[in-house]
Amino acid sequence: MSGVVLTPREPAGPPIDMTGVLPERLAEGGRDALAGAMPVRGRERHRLDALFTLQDGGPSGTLILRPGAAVLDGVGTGMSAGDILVEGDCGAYAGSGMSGGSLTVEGRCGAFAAAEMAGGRLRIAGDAGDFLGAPLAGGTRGMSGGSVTVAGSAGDRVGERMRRGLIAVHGRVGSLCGARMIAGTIVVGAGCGPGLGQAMRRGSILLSQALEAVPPGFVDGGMNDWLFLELMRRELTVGGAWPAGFPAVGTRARRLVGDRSVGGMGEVLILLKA
Amino acid sequence: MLTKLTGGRVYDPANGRDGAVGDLFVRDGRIVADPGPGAAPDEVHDLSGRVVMAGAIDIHSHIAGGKVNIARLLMAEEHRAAAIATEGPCGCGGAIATPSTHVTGCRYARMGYTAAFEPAMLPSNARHAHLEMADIPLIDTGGYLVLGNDDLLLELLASGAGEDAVADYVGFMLNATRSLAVKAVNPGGINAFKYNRRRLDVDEAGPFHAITPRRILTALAGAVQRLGIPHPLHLHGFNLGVPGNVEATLDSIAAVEGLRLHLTHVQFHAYGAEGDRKFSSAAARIAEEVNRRPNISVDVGQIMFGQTVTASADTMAQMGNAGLAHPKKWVMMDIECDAGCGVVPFRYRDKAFVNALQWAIGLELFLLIDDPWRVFLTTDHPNGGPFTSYPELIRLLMDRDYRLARMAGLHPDLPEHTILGSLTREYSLGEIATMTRAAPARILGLTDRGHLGPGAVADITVYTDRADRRAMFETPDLVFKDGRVIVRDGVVVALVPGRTHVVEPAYDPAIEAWMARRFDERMGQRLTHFRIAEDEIRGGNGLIRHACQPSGF
Repeated sequence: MSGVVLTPREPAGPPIDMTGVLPERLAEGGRDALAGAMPVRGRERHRLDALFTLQDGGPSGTLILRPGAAVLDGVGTGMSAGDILVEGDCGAYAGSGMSGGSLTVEGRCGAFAAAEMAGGRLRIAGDAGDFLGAPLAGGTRGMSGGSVTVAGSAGDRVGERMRRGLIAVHGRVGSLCGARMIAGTIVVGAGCGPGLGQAMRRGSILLSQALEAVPPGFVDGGMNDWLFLELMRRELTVGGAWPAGFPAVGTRARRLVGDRSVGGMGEVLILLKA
Repeated sequence: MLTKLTGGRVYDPANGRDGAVGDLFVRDGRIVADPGPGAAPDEVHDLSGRVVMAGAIDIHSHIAGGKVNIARLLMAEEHRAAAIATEGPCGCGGAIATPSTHVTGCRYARMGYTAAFEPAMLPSNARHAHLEMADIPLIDTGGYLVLGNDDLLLELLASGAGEDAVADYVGFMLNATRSLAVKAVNPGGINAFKYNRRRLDVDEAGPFHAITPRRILTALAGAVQRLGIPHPLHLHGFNLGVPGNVEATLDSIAAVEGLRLHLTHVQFHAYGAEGDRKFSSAAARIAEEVNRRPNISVDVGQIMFGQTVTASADTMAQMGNAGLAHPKKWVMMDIECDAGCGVVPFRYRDKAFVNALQWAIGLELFLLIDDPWRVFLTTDHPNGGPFTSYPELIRLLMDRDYRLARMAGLHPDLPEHTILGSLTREYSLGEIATMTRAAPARILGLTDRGHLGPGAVADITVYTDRADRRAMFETPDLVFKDGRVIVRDGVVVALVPGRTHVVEPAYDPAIEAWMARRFDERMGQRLTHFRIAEDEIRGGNGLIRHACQPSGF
């Protein structure tokens, strides 16, 4: 049995909330069950097969979305197993609340990608919006597991209130990256906006470029050799999460500790070229 | 157009009808007398066997304004979890404890309510509250102005101003903010909180102005009386939620010395500090006092178990509650030092002793206060529970067996601490009609609402008489607003705008010169901007003015 390719019947229009259109549904009930999902388009619910054409294609059990110019929100929201491949861009909430499986986006993602994610794997080939791996509105806990790789840049509040897991952004991140972070790892390939690690308690933020200044609330922990960086590099390189601009060898890094204004012991590690 | 509602059992306590079968006639949105056999109705509704009441009126429900909006933002997850897609004429929206304006109107209407009043409108925030209220469809609204912690009033009192000056000030404020009544929230206490005080007793002089809460309370109750505002001073009392606060509540009743006073969410103010847990029910003491004094009315503020959010102007009390927040997040804020604002999410748990006793205290109050004209059905939405829990509350009041069964599932120590099990009273349909229709209309001065006599606005609710009172009051068969069917079988079928009820008491405008100076010195806006123009509310087509003259019980 092959996978299913979903193509919107209308090339554009109101955003479609894809919550509930998941590979688990395909695995459990087959194509008919998938076709009976009821996504919301604009303000109205419709059957999936009224909004999309369903064709066979791709590996077994995989959902392949070809959004074209349509805006698809909530792709992979709540996903726990299986694979989704998006051959284009996603709207907001891609992979939010995801607990397993793999979501690959060949284009860009909107806000709240991987928000409150608990497990699984999200790969974004383009840019991601604000609140990557952050809590959903009203929530008090961000990402608690899984891994996110963004080949492009990401917006503000990446990894806000993050508790566990990995976020690797190969490009830039906006302001307040890792704000109120409790634990977990954020890798930033190409610089970050103001408010880095604000009110963070634990967790690690890895950079390879010097900051203009030590962020407020952080103290300089000096240069050190950190053997674990070698292990981390190997691990992340295999998963494609190690940014190309990061040093390929060496374990020296400058360590900033904070945010001391909230008694935090988180760390910002600035990797040095060997 | 003439509409005839025929054969229903009419519960209209204001006109002495208690379930007798009768016909109602509606012409042009109002109830008219029987036009005689010659008249041919354009529309006839056969209501044989059904129960007919006026549209219900919620006297105290936080539905609009700054703190409600803050609560919506704080509880964003609620809007996500309980989102509603478009359904007939009702647009989308969501949430339970913090519903959007649109959902608020639709849910009230679906329960047979045709009016609900926002009981805590801060002067500086009145414009926002009115804009939100105008956005609530299907029901009439209005706001009670929060005074008693505003610096201008305290300064006025500290300067020894006479009763006339206080009344002029209150009169101006009511007119300027387009309010229906005056509310005092922990008078003096919120102001004291800003000087870092965490408690202020009735006879304790507050900081800076050195005014006692008793003085503020009597001044405001007196001003309300002098201005002839229909609704008595609406008092959110002292030490909300603190064991032993019954003494302060009884002090408040004594302090007004016979002036009319409405004690709101009195359940939260009816706590003793006796017993091994230092927390006990004082409902019997309050009820005895209320039964004895016809100048006192109360609404209960019943708590209902489950997740909700508490939103109050009482920063002093809310700061104390912040540690109990569930989920763990809260907001305190203030604008213009008018009063305060605290929003704390809360989950009432039926297995928790304190919550179970609060629940029992509320029901004791309902059952021990004899006169349904002076006790009102509220949960202080959303503070004790969302207004959508009213049908469940009605069932608890009307069905003793259900009440006892529900009680048996609560904290095991509860029966030792409450007399609820021994109370045999069951509310009748007539009494429910009184406490949810006739009495709220009368105490707010809404002379043409809450009853079904000729001349009344045709806000009518029709129920099927079911043994399960919750099911009965949850889904009325028909709801009319201004004579038009807005709900059929629990589904909203037409969207109509509500109106805004206000009072415009006369006052001496000489006070405005002094106020204008004070506004220039201290406030973020000028007095002229503070005043809300008529056309700012519902496009100038929404005000209903109620006459100001003292109204008896």
